[in-house]
Amino acid sequence: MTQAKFLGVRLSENIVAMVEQTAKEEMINKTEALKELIVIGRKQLLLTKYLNLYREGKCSLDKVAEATGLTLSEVMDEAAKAGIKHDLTVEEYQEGLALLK
Amino acid sequence: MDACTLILLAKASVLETALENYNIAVTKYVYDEVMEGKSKMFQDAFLVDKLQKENKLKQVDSDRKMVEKLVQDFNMGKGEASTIAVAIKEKSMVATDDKQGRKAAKINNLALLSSIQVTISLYKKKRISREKVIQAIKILEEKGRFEKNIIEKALEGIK
Repeated sequence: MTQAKFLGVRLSENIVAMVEQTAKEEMINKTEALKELIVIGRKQLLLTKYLNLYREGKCSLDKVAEATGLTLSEVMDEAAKAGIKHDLTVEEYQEGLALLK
Repeated sequence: MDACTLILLAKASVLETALENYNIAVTKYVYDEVMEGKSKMFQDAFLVDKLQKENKLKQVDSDRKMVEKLVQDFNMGKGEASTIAVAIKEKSMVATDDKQGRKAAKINNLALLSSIQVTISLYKKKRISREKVIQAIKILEEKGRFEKNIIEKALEGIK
């Protein structure tokens, strides 16, 4: 288990309210709620960042999986949710079909 | 074949038929990427595992140096990079549904396929029924993220 370290941060009222609300909903203390929100937030941040790189043709989907800790299958679903389309063109589709004749 | 195409064909329930009809090989890295889905209980991962254990899914080795270079040049994972590396070495076709993999294949003048062409060709060769191909196209439209015009072409092709 990683040793816990102290980190002093100033949070705005709305963020404190968010932490308190999460603690209440999940029936955990505020420290646990904050930790959970940080972990989930970090994962989401990485997913958004790497899916954008994929969309721009700057990395592969398995690279997204590697960076986010998600499985490739989950990343493929996330790419679909994010509206990232397959780049296959009609010409390429027909060329590929001809190869398999 | 890369892990995206393997997963899509498994989800579309045509993977086993594709393996029976085409000489398909995957690298250890691709297999491992798909196997990560077992921890999340994904059906496609269990199917690929089963097919591999039944020796229906051929595994090939990839050149480590070539894989590392492709990882660096194209910012890819090892699964995608090893698929391209094998295709370059073997001068074979590459089946990938990954944009970056497709880009690397084009730069290396490799003949390129995707899951939807494999699926349609199985129907054209009468290896899967019309009902099954329609169901597979629906799954590929959603999970494979194919554009509407590709789906329309695919549906035209099975009329």
